[in-house]
Formats: sequence, C-alpha cells, structure tokens
Amino acid sequence: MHKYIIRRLLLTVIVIIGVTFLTFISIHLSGDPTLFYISERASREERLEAQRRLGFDRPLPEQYISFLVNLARGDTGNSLLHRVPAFGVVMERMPATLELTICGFVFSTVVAFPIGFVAATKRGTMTDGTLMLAAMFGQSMPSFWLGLMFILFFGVTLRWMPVSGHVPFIKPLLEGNTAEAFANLPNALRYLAMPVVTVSVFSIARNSRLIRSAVLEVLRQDYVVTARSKGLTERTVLVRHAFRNALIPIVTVIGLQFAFLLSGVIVTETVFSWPGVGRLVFDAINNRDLPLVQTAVVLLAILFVFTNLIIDLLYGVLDPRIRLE
Amino acid sequence: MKLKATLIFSLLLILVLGLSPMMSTAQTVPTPDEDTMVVAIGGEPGSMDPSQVGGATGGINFYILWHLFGTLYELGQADGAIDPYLAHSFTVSEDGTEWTFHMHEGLTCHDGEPLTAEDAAYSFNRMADPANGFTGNSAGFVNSSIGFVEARVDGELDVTIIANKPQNRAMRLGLISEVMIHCKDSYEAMTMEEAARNVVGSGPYAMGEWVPGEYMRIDRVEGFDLRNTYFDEIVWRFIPEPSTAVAEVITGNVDILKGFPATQFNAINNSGVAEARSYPGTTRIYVGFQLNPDAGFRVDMPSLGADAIMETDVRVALQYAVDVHAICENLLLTTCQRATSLVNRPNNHPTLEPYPYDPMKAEELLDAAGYPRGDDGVRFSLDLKARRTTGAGGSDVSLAIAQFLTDIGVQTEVVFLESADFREQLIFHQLGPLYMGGTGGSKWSAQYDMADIPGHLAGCAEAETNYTHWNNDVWCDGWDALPALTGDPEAERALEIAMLEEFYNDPPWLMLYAGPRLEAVSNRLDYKSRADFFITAYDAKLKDDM
Repeated sequence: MHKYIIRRLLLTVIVIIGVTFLTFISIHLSGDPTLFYISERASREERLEAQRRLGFDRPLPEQYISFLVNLARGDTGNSLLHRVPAFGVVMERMPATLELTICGFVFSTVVAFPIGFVAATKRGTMTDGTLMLAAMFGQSMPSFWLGLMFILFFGVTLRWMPVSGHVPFIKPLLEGNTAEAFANLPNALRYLAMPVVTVSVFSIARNSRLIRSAVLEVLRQDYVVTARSKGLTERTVLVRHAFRNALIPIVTVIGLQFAFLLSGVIVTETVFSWPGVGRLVFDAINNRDLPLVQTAVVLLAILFVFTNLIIDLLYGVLDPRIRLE
Repeated sequence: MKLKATLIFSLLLILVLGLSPMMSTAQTVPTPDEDTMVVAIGGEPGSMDPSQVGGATGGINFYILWHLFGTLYELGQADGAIDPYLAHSFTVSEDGTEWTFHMHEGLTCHDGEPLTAEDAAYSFNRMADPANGFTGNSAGFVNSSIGFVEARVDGELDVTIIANKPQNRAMRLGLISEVMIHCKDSYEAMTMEEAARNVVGSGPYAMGEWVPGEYMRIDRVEGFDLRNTYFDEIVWRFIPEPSTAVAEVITGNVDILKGFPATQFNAINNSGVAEARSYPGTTRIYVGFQLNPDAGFRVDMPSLGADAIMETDVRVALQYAVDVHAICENLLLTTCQRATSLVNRPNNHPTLEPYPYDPMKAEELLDAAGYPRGDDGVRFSLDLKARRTTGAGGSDVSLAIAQFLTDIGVQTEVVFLESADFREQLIFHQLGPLYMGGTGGSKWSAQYDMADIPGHLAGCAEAETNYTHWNNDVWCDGWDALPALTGDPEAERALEIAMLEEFYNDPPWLMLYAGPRLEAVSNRLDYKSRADFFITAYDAKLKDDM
C-alpha cells in the first residue's frame, strides 16, 4: 500500500512536468506575451526592453528550465499582471473555488443518487422514463446559458436570488475567524445557490444515468437473487447488497467529477462573478500571464492527481478483494 | 429512528438560532445607497502601482486609480478640456522643453505627509526609471511620447518636467495629465510587490477595502477640496460577463456600467431603474490597408488584391463601397458620423466631408483604376484580418464590411485571428491585406491622435505604431516640422489641416467612425458620461442633491 502511494506521488511529478510543459508551449504558440504588457503605442525599443525585463527574450528551453528549477524551490514567479507572487494570487482565490466545487460535488451527488436509484428500481416505468428524459435535458444544457437563465428568472424577474457576487465562508474559516465564517453562512448559501445548481446540473444528469445503469447491472447478479430468495426485505437487498456493489464504477466517476468540477467552473465563475481560480486562470490566459497560468495549472494538477489517488484507495475499502500494489 | 431525526432537527435549530445574533456582522456584497455608489467594470485591476497604470492589459486599473491619485492637470470632461488639478498653473521655457508646474499649497498625501513638488518629481522619475521595469501607460507611452528627460524640483511647490524636444502644448499637457502623482516617502519605503497591492494616493478618494476578484471600495478623503465629491464610498465591482452586469443594473445593484452589448440597450431603458446612453467615443475604428511592400502575404503569396491596395485610387474607391451609417444603425444600434481622418472631433479637419456610400462610384473608380470585374464578377480578392470580438470593431462589423466590398466585386473574406497573433502581426506590419483596426484617441489634441503615424525622424513608414506602413512624405515631413511651430498655433493648425487632407486623399485607412460607447447609468444619479476611456465617478451625485 505504502509503495503504491509513493509510486503514485512520484508519478505526480511527471504529470506536473507534463502539464507545465504543455501550458508553456501553448501560451508561447499564441504569440509573444510581451505584447500584452506594453502600450499599444510602444516603440520597438520599448518593446524589446519590456521583453528583456519580463524574461521573454531568452530561448524558450532556457525559460522553461528556469521555471522548473524555480518551481522545485517553491518559487512560481510573479504574476505579470498583478506584479506579486503568482502563488499568493492563486491561493487567495482557491477558497471561493473550493466552496463552489465542494457544494457542487455534494449537491450533485446527493441529488443524483436517489434519481439513479429510483430510475433503476423502477426500470421501464413512466418514472424511469421521466427521470432519464430530465437527465438528458440536464446533460444537453450549456451551463453558460443555464446560468444566465437563472439570473434572468430568479435574479431579475422574481428577485429571489442575488444576481451575482460572493460571500466568503471557507476563507474566514481558514483564517481562524470561525464566528465570521458562520455569521456569513446564511448569505454565503444565498449567493452559492444559483452557481451551485448551474455547475451541478450536468453532473447530476450524468451521474444519475451512470448510477441507474450500475444498479441495474448489479440487480441482475446471482447474489441479489440469492439475497431475495433468503427472504430479505427488498430494502435490505437494495441497500446492503446491490448498492454497495454498484459503488465501484460510481465512485470512479463521481471522484473524477470533483476534479472535473474544480477545473470546469470557469464558465460558472464568470457568469456569476465568482472570485475563484477558474475565472482567474481564464483572465490570466487572455492576458498571457504565464507565471499565473502555470501556478494555477500546477495546483489544479496536484488536486486532480490526489483526487484520483483517493479514489483508488477507496476501491480497497469498498471491495476488500482489490489490493493496491 | 424518530429520536435520531428529532435530535438532528434540534441541533440544526440551535445552530440557526445561535447564529442569529451574529447575522448583523455578516458580510455581504456592497449595494448602492445614499452614501455608496457602485460602478461595475468588466475586469479587475492587476497591479495598483500608479506607475504601472494602463498599458495593453492593465487599463482597468486606470478607472480606479484615477480617483485615488491626483495629476498635475486633469483631462476634463468637456471636449478638449485639460483642467488644473494638483497644479494651478504652468509656465513653459522659451525653447519649449522645460515645463514648470506650480502646485497648490496645503495638499496632503493619504499617508498624512505634505504633497509637494518633491513628490511630483519623484512620480515622474520613478515611472521613467528603467530599473523599476514598468511597462504601463506612463513608462511605455507617455515617457517616450513627451521625450521625457527628467523631473526637477525647483521650489517646494514648483516642479519642472524636462523634455528633449518642444511639442504641441495640448498634447504634452494631456500626456503629463496621465501621470499620477504619488507620495515619495511611502513609495520609497515599499517594495515593488507592496506597491502593487497598497495604495497611498493623493486624490479625492483613498483605498478602503480590496477583495480580490470581487470588488474594491474607495473612501472619500475628508478635506480634499480640489474637486467636489458626493459619495462617501465608491465600490468598483468586477463583473466580467456583460449580461450579468446588465442584470445587476436592472436590479438596482449597480449605478454605472460602462460598456454592454448593444442588444441590451432597450432592456436597460425599459427597466425604469437606469438609463442606457450611447455616444461617440474616442476609439477610432477603421479598416487598415497594409502597405508594407515586404509583408509576408505580399512576398510569399503575391496576389492582385494585395498589389491593388497599394494604389491610392483603389483605396479611395473602396471608401465609397461601405455604408457606415447602415453598420452603425443595424449592428451597433446607434447613429455615428463617418470619420474623415484619424483625428477625432472636434480637432479633425473642419471642412472635409466624409466619403459617402456610393457603390456605383466605387465601381467606376475601380474600373478607371484598371481593375474591372472579371467574368466571375470579381475584380480581385482580399483577406480582412479581424479578431472575434463584439462591439464597434467586432466580428459582425468585419463581416458586414467584407460583404460591402464583395458587392462591388472585391471578393473579401474575413479571417479571424487569435488576439495575440493579431497583435503581433499588427505591430510587425504584417497584418493584412486588410485588417479591422481600433486605436485609442482623444478629444483634447489633434496631434495626440496623429501620433500613430510619426515623421521621418521616428521612422515614418517603419515606425512601429504606423501599423499600415503608410509612407507619405507630406505627412511625415509635416510631422517633423510640427514641433518648430509650437510657438505659432495658427501655423501649427494649418500644417495639421494640410496633413489631414493628405490622409483623406491618400488614405491608409478605410475610414469608419469613432467607436460608440454604451453606458448604463442609474436613474438616481446625476452623472456626466465621458467620451474617452475614463470614468469620472467622483463627481457623480444623487439627483436630489441638485
């Protein structure tokens, strides 16, 4: 087990080098970032001087190796736009993204499970058809459009919900201001409601379909028939025997769902003016703020890899037959 | 089971009741009230260092810093106005290179220290010091545009800005008015990183609270009497999605929003909460003719179209092909006046009439120039390079122009480029044969607008900002002669007018319009919209105050 974890952590390093390399190349393929940091009326000399100051006059391999060396030292450089350490800029946005991602993850999981389970146990009925039709709609709706519709309906027309913005909960909590965090909680939840639903709809739809098919698969197994023939109640058969065995494929997808939500909240954060990492990265890419993009990518990659690691470890818990070596 | 549920419910109830007393201290998103004005802006400021203001990406910080820092003079709201601010007057040396500004007495920095000529000189020298590595508007544009040499303290309240050349007065004064005066003691004590996050200003408002990614609140400075201010707090909310910002305006959560999709004009006006305004801005929108004989598309893939636009007659003919008014009315949902040159009103040529929309004439001129329609109805083909954007120089405008040109037999295809590619090709004079251009301008100086195309001394066609690589001796000689005429405004203006005529008759641009600006303003506010890039929120007031 320990060897497995160490091996996975070493693989993380390779993954991080890979993603930083791809990010670096893609940013540079789209032109010289210096051009974004000089006045549109800058002269040739001023441009060259700015290029030198920003370090973009050096050969690309040298720039990249220099980045990796600094990264190993824990220095990801200064954001070109903010002119402060990029790591700090990303970290001050991380709590907001975690709020949205965690709530989206919990909400989508809590809603998807009963939908998928009910649809599976009522297979072929109108309930099953209705739920799966709704799921198909959920998967088809772009979150950008859905977010704007929520704003229009609940924010502008009904005035039930705030249109956009954010009230922090995790940040004061991390800073040790528990009282402030809990005082903020009611408002934080109000501001979270529409973004969370927006970011979750796709996940709910996908997960409920997956849960349905996983449960259906298990219900066909001999041990379920055996459980029923032993005279167990239907509830016990479903919850204790079918559900647990259906969990492995579900956990795989739902676990990845967390990482997907984490990296996929860009649109939702933009629509709802949510001050998270997604929006920050989006702006940083538009501004070719290479250090900031690289820092965010590294942190997100680490989170992604760790999520995968936790999923793998969960396999062993769910099914003792699985050994991680 | 029931006991468990009751227990959980009770715990939740206790938690909620327990939280109630704390609700009064809960944070929320700032909204307008009688003491607070909320302005929505599309991005968020990067560095808040006053020497790093503006530049290609950081322009958004201009809006806010404009309220936190004073300038020696201020770009006024009326056309052409440049008003005294921290300085009450200035004198110019005989040779026009030394400008001495006389500052008001009794000014203070937000750190409580007196604001004197020493601070003003420090601000100029700091932004120009290469060791500081600034790339913003002051260091990257103002510095070179005025030929800045150094700033000198000539007395407690007298600061002299020394340049290496004489220059049109309005232009130099306007450029100097873009440099924010900051306080020497505080900024000397800060590292560059600290200066990017901490503001010690000299203007009517001081930094209150900055919540990254969300908003910045600035608080009125008591005792600052160089300008009237009406709100105790101004909150700048960072709302990247225009539709969301419009929704916030309609729900009364935002007082001022500069820039929104034209399609939402009526939605704002019909809300009964805010007014949607449309007015000519200062950004000059045009289609550039790339005239660089060594441009890659011309050398590597020679084409009839790329050669044709090198001829003045062809470029004039194409002016008649585009119905600018139709574009404004149908795509930008506003009216606009067609430009006659690169200079904005009121400093443009006083008598030149804009080219009218006359496709028949365009066809006649192209026939006469030796480019008749072929059997397929095509005279020649061109690519129009553009960015995928919205607004005055947006994608739909590019597509409309391509259609107008195609209608007269100039088969034009719009090629959309990624923003960085577009900018790189533009700067290296490789963008074309046609490109959709937009460049900032002013209302206060013809020469500021004309500076895009400098004279021979700065390279003329080769100059980096002469994006079309236009090589016209009348213009370039004229530009070089202008500094010598600064003491004779009439002669200076006569030369400007001659140069603008040359631009009209040998056009490097297919002239369009000054990009309309759209602004939503709450009905509760008495607020003057500005044509240029800035927002002067400090002098907005509640209508009841009138």
